[in-house]
Amino acid sequence: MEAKPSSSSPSKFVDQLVVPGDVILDLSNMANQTLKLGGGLRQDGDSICAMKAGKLRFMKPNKYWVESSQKRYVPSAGDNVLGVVVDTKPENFVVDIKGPALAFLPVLSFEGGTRRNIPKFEVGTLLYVRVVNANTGMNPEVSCMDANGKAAEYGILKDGYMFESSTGLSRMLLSSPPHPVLEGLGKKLSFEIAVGINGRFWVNASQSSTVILVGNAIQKSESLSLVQQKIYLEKLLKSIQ
Amino acid sequence: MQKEKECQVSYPLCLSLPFALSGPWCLTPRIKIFAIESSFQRSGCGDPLASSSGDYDYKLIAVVNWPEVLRHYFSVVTTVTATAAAAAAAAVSVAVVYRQVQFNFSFHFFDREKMEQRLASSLIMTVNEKKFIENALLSDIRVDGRRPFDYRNLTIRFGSEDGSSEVQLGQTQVIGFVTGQLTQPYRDRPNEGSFAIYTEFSPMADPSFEPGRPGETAIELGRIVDRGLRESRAVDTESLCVIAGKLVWSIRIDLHIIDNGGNLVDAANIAALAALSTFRRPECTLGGEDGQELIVHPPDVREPLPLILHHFPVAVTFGFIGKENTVVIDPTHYEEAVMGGSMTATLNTNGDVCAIQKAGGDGVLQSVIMQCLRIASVKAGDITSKIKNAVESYNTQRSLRKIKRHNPDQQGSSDVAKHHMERLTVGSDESGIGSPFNEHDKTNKRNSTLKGFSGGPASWDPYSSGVDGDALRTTLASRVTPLDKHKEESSPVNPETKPSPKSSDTNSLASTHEVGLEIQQSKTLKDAVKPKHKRRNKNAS
Repeated sequence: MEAKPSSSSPSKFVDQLVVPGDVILDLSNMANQTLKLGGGLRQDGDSICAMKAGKLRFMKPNKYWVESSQKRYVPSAGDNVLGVVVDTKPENFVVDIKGPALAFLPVLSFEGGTRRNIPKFEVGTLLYVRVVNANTGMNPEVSCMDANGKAAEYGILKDGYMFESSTGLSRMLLSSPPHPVLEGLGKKLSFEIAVGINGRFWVNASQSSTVILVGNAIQKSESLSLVQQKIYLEKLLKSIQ
Repeated sequence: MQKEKECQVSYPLCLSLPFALSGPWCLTPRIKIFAIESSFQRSGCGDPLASSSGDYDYKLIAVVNWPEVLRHYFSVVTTVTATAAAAAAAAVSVAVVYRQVQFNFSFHFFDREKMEQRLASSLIMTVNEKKFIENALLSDIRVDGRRPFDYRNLTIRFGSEDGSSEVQLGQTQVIGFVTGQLTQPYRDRPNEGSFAIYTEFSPMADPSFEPGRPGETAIELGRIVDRGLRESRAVDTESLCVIAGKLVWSIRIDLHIIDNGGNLVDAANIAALAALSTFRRPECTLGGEDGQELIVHPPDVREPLPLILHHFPVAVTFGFIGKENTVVIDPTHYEEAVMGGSMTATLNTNGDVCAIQKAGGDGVLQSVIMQCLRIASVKAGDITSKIKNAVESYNTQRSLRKIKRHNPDQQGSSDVAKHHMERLTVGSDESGIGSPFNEHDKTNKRNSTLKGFSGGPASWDPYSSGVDGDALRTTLASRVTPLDKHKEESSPVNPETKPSPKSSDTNSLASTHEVGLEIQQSKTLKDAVKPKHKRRNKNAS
């Protein structure tokens, strides 16, 4: 249990850019407090310092982590990612999820999966999977079921096109309130989109031109600020009509 | 977690024992052994390549590859198991196999990790992408929104040194660097210099590029660029000769690929052409006591000379995608992974086809090839004009820099000094007025804003502290024409030696030249200054 500390204010770096080496918190004047440190932070004796460059985020009551956008993905349990099958083995499919190691998808981790109805995925199949466990040094394990054992939208994604993005853009696309460009395009065009937190997203629509438009618009809007995104969206929609 | 490892072990020793019983066996069989590890313990550091840090149990299943070996082996096994002595031999053979597997374990562990890494480093394409690219092309649209015969955005930039260029074609980035060295000529070509192209595919450009020896694509790229320049005689090698039979210039073109976004050949070719156009070699004269010594003049003493390029061979790459052989120009990284074949045509604006490269891939109809060549000649014209514009603006910038550099070095006669100070204000004038260093803008702006010139020398000019702004301003106001004349004199020096005329530039220059001439005849002091300038240029060329 955490007792009220003498200084209960969060770090002054919250929501600001930090670089490796910045001391986020000094623990010497905080007593009896439980802190949860997420990615990018490290405890160095009496101080918490940042290891990654990015924005420091804080969630009540006690979670701190550094958020940054990269092209590479570090697998962690519970993430929904887009994977590509690169190999099939007797026990599992080998799936690439843009991480340091290839992930294994056991052949039985599908809803109602038994030895008799193993799905046949050829090399290059695009799957929407969930990361079950990802320990450092081991190949991560993914699954096409949710925690309860239901299929829940996981599985093969047919047609459409997969675009590469950074992890930051994927997080933006999944955030709420929704991404302005995504929302604006969704109001005018009809398409379906699956976003993987590993820096991949898949778009499908009835027309190829719609897919290309949506994908490129999202990719280009990554570096724009909110206001710029709105302007870009307006110009884009005007050019479609 | 269970992992399977494949170890390939060839062991003539193990099988020779039982085979000795069955007969002579000249081939060493290759046997696949599946070793299943059941317990897997990792140390804390988690380095996947750290071998032998865990315990591995082996379950040996020996499966023989070759059918003949299989037949023989089974026959041997039956004979082996039949006799007691042979059974011992079999046990020995199995034990030897086991040991070899243990011995080879760490080696093959690395092998599998490498296989994983190799899989990860090659581009991973989904079936969706391939189908989508082909379908989208049926409606004439490409994944980045281009039409099938559109090029990506081309930017050509130059480095601070002569002969260095950086080309960006979409996401592809190539750096070209040209250097020259004095060497002995080849025996059969005593009057000609030589040039060579070296390519380096940086591993930063693409996960599949490995450092070290150039791979197949690197060598092919070098060959295409080389053939375009050499066979078409674009680079004039005879002008590179200094002393026939003894000393010639050897030009080395280095092409570094720093980002692979597809279509490296075109970008590398443009980088080579841009770098060659801006390269300057030092001037060499024969002198010394007996007139036989070679003096290489450093660049600040004598203006270095550009290379003579007769024409610009531009490479245009086509990709053939799908069964209907849809043609796309300038394929991206993803399109290259999907395409069935590609063709590179090197042409120049005169309509000559310098080279065509089609190395394998899908077959293409002759009519398609002719159509591609026609399209390529149009694209070559576009690219050539872009390269020429970029080179021109670089050259004018360069001549501006040379003008400013003359001021502190040469404190000659008074009118020379005045002359230089005027040129200095030209330089600072430019910086004061605006950044676009274009010949048109400069002359126009100068003419229009001279009366309204209110700023002093630019603050970034390092030599501006030694110049009196007010005095120069008055001299500037009274001497409109010499500045125009000087600008014209400095820039036509380069076109004299360059084969391609700067048509657009000379037009504007001609108009100002005429203006200058009219006012010129009334003043004689300028006539005294001008010939000196001309004389210096004649020596340099």
